[in-house]
Amino acid sequence: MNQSQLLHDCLKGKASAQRELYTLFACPMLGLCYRYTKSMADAEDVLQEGFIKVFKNLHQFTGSGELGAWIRRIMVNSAINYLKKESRYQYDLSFSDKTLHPVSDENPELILNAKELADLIRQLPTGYQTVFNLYAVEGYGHGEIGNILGIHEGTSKSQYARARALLISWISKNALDQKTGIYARK
Amino acid sequence: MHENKFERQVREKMDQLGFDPTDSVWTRVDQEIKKDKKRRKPLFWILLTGLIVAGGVTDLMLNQKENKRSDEANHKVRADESGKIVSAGSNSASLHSENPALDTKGVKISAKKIKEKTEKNAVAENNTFQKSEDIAEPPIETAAANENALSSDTPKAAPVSGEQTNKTVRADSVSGKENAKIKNKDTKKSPWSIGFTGSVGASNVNQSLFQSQNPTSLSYSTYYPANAVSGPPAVINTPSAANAGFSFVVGVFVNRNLSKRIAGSIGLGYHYYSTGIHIGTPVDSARTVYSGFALSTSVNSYYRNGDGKDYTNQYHFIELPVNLSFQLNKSPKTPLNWEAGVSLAWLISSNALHFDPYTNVYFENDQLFSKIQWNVQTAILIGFPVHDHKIQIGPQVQYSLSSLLKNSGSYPGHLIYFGLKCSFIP
Repeated sequence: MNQSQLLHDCLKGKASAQRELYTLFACPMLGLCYRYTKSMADAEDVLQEGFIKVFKNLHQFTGSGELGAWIRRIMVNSAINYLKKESRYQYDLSFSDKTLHPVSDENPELILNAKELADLIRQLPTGYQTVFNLYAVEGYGHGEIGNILGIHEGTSKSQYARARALLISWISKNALDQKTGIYARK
Repeated sequence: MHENKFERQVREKMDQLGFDPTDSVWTRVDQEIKKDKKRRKPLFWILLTGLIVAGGVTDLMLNQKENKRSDEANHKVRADESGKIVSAGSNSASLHSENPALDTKGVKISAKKIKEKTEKNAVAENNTFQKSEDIAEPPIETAAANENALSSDTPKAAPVSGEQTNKTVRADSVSGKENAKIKNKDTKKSPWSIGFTGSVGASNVNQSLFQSQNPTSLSYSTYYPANAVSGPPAVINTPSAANAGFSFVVGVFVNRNLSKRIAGSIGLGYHYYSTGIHIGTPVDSARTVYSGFALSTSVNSYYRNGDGKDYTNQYHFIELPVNLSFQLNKSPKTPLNWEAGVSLAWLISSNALHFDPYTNVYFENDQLFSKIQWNVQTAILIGFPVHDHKIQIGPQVQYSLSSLLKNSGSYPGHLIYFGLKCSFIP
């Protein structure tokens, strides 16, 4: 079934089409939700809320872009709303740091697999984690991130610089540990 | 956009990330979608029930009218028959009368009187509805027969015994009573009458009854997000001015006369309001917007501010109007009525856009509207009969007392409607 037919059937309320749409996007979207949260249970909660929004607002999809990209944006939105709503994330989500930190030029080689990298991103404080995900993975600009999170553009830049530096140090440490482990084994 | 090697690698890795969700996620999503469908069902049933009830009542009333007409026709036939029996009885009584004073001349005079009276009755019968008293009077041909019979020297009619005559008269009086009973039953009209109403005009969103909407009023210009450290924007963005749009009402009502000049009605209707605005290009992208009292909300698509596109804000309401009508003149044929009342309206859906001056975008969110609206309405209606039906037509104004937005603060928007109303009572 092509995408437009699938959309048409979903809008008609066909359960089989809705299930198909869900199956098509659930796996990568859960990966997205996983990056923004601290546990798989929370990630599934976000995924659930996101898909409910997708089905309720499907009529708003004008078809001007990719359906996958539209669903992805809804998931990102749902994740941010979830972080704002859930008290256990709120302390970590505060964006009090306004001092600008320069972004380092370090570009370490990533030898980690996708899950290992995602697990490192999830270890960042929630504020850093969110800004890092929005900037580095989703590709939003700092102005847009400011609008989404309701913060200064400068704050977004600062948070990103700190997040990047922290992550690179962890990746480097991880790489070093792996090398050390290899040498030790040798 | 940054194209550092690190960011590119991260993006590529994260694009590969995926997990299979547990089955419970789909189960909960599916339940929520079905729940949403169920929520919409009552509205459908309410409307359907309303239409069925309205249709049923109309059918009942039309049938009653039809029955009444056929009963009236039957009464006329019965009255003619009973009149003949009475006249036959009186003839017999006259013929058997032993009164010596009853000479031919006298009989002729009384017959003439009967004839005159009968003719008068016949004329009256043609002009108005047949009255029950008239039914007992003999019709013209009976009177003529009486005259012939009484003026004749030799009686043409066969003699009838007194007992038989009494029986006939008694039977007649019984049938007369029955007729009267049936007639009373038929003439007992229902105090309620059903009608249909329609109105066409223009609607807008006003600041108050006599103050039109300021362009910024329906936006959230006075509020800026509490979590936005930048404070209110340096330049306050203003939305497009809203223009009056097409509006109409259709509905059914039941009407009851409370006194000679006052009538009350209650109804069920659908009201469509619209206003026109100018907006910019649509964007299919997620965004956080501010929707009154610094509440941030996420939208998945929005419109930029601009003049490139005409947009119609539409509001669909189900209304329950209750009106009192006062007749201002004394004319029964062309009554001039002043109608005033209130209505409870329920917003069933809207595509109207909200403006967020902070992000300078328009967005759709019908959750921000007050779903229940209290309206006041008034109309001056002139009535005129068309065949057997009653039609009233005249200008109408309706104003919503409730604020259109839930969190509008000191900038409430009120729907206002001006139109030409027409009501029809079959």
